[in-house]
Amino acid sequence: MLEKLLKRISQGGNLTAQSLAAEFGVSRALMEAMLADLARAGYLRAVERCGKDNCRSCGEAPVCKVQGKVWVQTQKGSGE
Amino acid sequence: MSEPSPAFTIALAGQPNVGKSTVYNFLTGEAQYVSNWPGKTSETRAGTFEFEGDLIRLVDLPGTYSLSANSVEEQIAREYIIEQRPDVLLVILDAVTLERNLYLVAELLHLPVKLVLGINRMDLAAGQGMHIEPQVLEAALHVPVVPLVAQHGEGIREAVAAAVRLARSPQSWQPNRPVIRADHQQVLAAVEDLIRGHVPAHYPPGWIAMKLLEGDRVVTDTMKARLGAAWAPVHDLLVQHDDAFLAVAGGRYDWIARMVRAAVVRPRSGEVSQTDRIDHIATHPFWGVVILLAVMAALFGLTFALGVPLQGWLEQHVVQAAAAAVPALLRGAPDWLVSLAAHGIIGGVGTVLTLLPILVLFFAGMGVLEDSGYMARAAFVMDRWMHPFGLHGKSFLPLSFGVGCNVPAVMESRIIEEPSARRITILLTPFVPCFPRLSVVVLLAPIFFGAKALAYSLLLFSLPLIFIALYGKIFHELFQKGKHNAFIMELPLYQKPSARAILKSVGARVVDFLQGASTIILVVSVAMWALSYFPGGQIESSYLALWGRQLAPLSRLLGMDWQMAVALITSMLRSENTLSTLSVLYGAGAQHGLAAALAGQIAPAAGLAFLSMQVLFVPCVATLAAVRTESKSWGWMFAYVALRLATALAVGVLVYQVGRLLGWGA
Repeated sequence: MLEKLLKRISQGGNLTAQSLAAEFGVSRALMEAMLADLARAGYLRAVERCGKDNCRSCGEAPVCKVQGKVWVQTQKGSGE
Repeated sequence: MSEPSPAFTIALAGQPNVGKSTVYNFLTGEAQYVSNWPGKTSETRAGTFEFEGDLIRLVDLPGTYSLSANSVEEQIAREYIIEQRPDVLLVILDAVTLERNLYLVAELLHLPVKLVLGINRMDLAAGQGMHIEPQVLEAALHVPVVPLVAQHGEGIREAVAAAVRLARSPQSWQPNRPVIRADHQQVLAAVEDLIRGHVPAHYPPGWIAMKLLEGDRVVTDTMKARLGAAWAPVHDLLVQHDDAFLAVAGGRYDWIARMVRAAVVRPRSGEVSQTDRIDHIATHPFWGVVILLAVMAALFGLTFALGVPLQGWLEQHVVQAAAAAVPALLRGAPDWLVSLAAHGIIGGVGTVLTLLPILVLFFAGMGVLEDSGYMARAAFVMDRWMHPFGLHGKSFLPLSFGVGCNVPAVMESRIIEEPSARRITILLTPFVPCFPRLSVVVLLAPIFFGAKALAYSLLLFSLPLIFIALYGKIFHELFQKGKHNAFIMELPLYQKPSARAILKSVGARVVDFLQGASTIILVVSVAMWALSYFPGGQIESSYLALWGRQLAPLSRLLGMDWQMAVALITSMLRSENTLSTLSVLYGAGAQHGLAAALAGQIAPAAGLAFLSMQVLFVPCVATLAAVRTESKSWGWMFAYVALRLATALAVGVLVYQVGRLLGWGA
């Protein structure tokens, strides 16, 4: 299932964890776990806004919430 | 008298917050012993209880999502199970997230321990429309499954009874285990052969081999140390099959899907599907854009309707009043000092500070949209809209961050590995109008366009987006040859916005704004005042006028006077400087406010050209520094400045000349 998921992600398009969960017939929580596993193995990467640890005093911290959680495909994930 | 030995040991396992502690407390009551695991800071609890005449020892393992040694808790759990070998592991699963919980079961089934599954919160799952058939799941897994509502004590004793039965008849333990994908089974066997005889005591070689294929850090380090020179062939095999993780973990997910297929019917109602129902419209390719435009129009409309009158009041009653009081307060002081205080400091910084009500309203509105979860949908909708223009995937992330501030947004382009794609994103990101740039438009649009300010503002905000799309398309075709980069968003559930979170976000942004006003805007205001005052005390004969008039031929094409051109240039230090510079150069202060100073002097066509240039002009120096740093090229940075300058000038000239032809030039 993970390989199929990786192939599907490589095809691109507007992807959300919800839409992928529906497409693969699994729950959203399981899809999120699969994405986390792919990230752990280096196929995806969870996007962190700036890598700084001063969110509490950062004026832009609220903007971080704009995206929700985001995963991007790495070069390993796209097979390059 | 010593306590009798327990007949069985049952360990409790499960993910965090699934109700393990409730089960533990129900069974042991107060008879519990709390300590740390040897060599770890993680706490463990162990106790005893009687069940049908037998004394049973109960050990509460730390909550874990998997057994992959990603955390101390996961390491403790797997070490305890392998080394201490409890008679039965009672795994507590959350019915609401059953599939996710089964991943841990998929891992536990490879350990030398017998399992009983207790599915907790069956009532909550039923309330959310989930229908779970424990007996169907039991038949599929070949593992005893007991439904629980631990909070009410329901099913707990039945689960213990199932565990005792299993402990007494170990031959009945024939679970349906997940298998590694067929094409990697030989690799698994080969690794197992290579490590046999070297694995630590109690550890099954098959499990160790599987963990090596998964890339488990702790197991890899352990085996590397134990194998010594014999590690090389194992390492070679692992390198050759570096995709084995997909085969191992993928096998588990396939197994989960098979196990729940008949046993679980997912919800048709409840919180998740309510979010899905809203998203059906909010993320729709057409209606999603309509909703986004309506939401943004409402936000700006509200900001104009409430913020602009407040801003006007502050300007009249605070800034002008303060400026008018300066001559009296500084009686006897030289003229230049009075002028500096009234026009340079109060006129410049004060005018910028009057923006506060507008910014507070705007930030609060944005805070509501962000905290409710809507802005994630807005980003998603925008991403879809930009696909036809060659902008997609990773490039969209920094672009959407740019609304807050272009500097971290440019830095975010690091997520793009491919150099040309990264540079394109670095170039496009600062086109996104940041909050300070937007605030200049919000303040000046009502002055230039009166009742039509909202419509013109929306038009002005769409200008940068048009150029992002246009340049994105050109750059993408030139450098990327249509290559796609994928990304996935986890859209959060909609929630009621928290007043505390919004206040915190507004507070943080206001503090940032005030810090800017008290530092760089103050310095630029004073510098602009000095250049516009000296050498003769008259603005028309000042150094700035002398220099500004050099721009006259260009300014004429744009319908602007030199003061406006200078104001635009000072925005390169900080966007709000445009306002303070205009205030200083147009003499806003004691006699009249900025609105009055500008209203009579700038034709609508020139105002529109000016604001068009403002949103497209070269970004602030901090952003340019970020462009230089991230692109690692001075050439790219200067090329970028030239592109922005050329774009802003071309649009400014076009807007003014067309506006003039339409009769807006007077």
